[in-house]
Amino acid sequence: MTDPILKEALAEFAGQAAPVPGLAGRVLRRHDRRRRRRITAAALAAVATAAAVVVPFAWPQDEGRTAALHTSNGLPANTPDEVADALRCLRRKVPRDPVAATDARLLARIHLGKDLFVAAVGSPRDLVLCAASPKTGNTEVPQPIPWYPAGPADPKALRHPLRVDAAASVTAPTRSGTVEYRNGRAVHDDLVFLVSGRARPEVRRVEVTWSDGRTVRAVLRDGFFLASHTGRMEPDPTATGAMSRGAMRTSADRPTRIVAYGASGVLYRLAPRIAPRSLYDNSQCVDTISLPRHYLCSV
Amino acid sequence: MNQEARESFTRFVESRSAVLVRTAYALTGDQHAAEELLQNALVKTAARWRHVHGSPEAYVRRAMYNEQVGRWRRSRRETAVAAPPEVAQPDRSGEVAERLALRHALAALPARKRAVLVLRYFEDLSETEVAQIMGCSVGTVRSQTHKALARLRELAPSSEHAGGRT
Repeated sequence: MTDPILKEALAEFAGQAAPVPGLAGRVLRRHDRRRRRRITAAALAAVATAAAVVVPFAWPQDEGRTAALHTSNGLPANTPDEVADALRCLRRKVPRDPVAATDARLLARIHLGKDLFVAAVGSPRDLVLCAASPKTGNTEVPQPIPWYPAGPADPKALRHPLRVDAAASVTAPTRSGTVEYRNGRAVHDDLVFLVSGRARPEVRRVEVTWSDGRTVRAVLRDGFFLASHTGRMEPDPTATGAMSRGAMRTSADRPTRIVAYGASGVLYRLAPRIAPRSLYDNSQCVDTISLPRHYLCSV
Repeated sequence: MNQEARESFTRFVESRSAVLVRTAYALTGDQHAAEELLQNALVKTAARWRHVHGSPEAYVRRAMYNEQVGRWRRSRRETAVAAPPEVAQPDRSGEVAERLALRHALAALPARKRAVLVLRYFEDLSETEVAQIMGCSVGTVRSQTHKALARLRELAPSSEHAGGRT
C-alpha cells in the first residue's frame, strides 16, 4: 500500500457519495428559520412595556412579557431556556441548541420555588404535564396525552372559548428530587394537582376552583393555561368495607369549576353536572366539548 | 442575508457541493450522515457568510471536521465494525485489485480512524493542521495514523507494504 494507492482508494471511497440536489435552497431556508427564532428570542427577552411587536392575534400574557409569535403548528415560540425546561419535563438531555433539537415547546409554567416548577409541555402530537426539580427533571415518567381532537394544538382553532386538555396529580418536586426524608421518615411527599387547556384570544383570564373550595387564577400564556394546587394524601374517614383500613384520599384532587373571562365578563364556564366518581369520569357529558376524557361540561 | 449575499452563497453551494459531499461521505461513510454533516456546516457558513474571507470551501471543510470531531468527543466511543465484510477477491492482480480491497477496508474502518486518513491523505493536511482540527497533539496524530494504517493492512491483507508518511 503506497501513499498514491491509499489516496486513490480514499478518493474512490468518497466518490460513492451521491450529489444532493436543491442543497442551497434547503440550507438558506434553515438559515432563515434559525434567524427568525433568534429574533423572536431576543424580543421575548425584552421587558414587556411597549407593544412594539405586531402579531396576528395577541393573547394576554401572565408572565410579564410581550406576546409571542406562534409557530406554524400553533405552539408558542420559546426561548432556548424554555425549550431546555421543556426537555427536562420530558426527561431528555438538553443539547447545545435545544430549539433546533426538538419540536416540544413549553406551553405554560408556574414557578414553585427556586428551580422548581410545574409546566405543560406540548408538541404537535401531544401534551405532557410535569412537575420538575433540578435533580430529577420531571418527578414522574412523562405521560403523553394526545391532543383532542387530533390536529394542530392551535388555540385559535377551538370551537368554544375554552377547552380542558388534561388534569393530573403529580409528585411535587423538591430540591433533592421528590420525597424528602428526615430520620428515616418521609417528611415531604406532597402532590401537585394540575389542570391544563387552551383558550381563544378573547379570553383574558381563567379561574379554576378546586374540590376543597379554593379558587386560583390560572397562568395564561399564548392561549395555553395551567393551574395548580398543592395537596397531600390523608386518611380517608369515609372509606368503608374490607379495604377501608389505611385508606387514603387526596385533599383536593379535581377542578370543580373553570371560568373563562373576557374583557366584559364571563365568557364560558365548565363544571360537572353531577359529582364525578373520579377525575376522568366523562359519562355525564352529552356535549362534545369535554370528551373523551374529562368530566367537566359547559354550563 | 441580503439578496446579493444569498445569490453568491447559492452559486458557491451549487458549484462546490458535489466535492464537499464527497469529503463528508469520506468522514461519515454514509450518504444520509454525509448530507446532514454538510448541511449543518453550510448553515453555519451561511450565518457567517459576510465574514468568510479567503476560501469559503476551506471554511465549510473545517466546519465539517469540527462538527464530526465534536460528535466523537461527545459519544466517547467508536463504533467498530464487528467483523470486516467478506471481500470477494476478483481474479485480478496489481494496483486495481489493491485499490478495490482498500476501498472495502476503508468502509470497514472505524469512523475516527478513517477520518485521520481522510484528513492526512485525502485532504493533504499536515500533521499540525490535523492536530489542530482534532484537538490533540501532533504525536497523537502520528500514532493514530499509524494505528489506522495498521488496521487497514489487517482488513486488506493484499496491502502488505507499509506506506506511512513521515
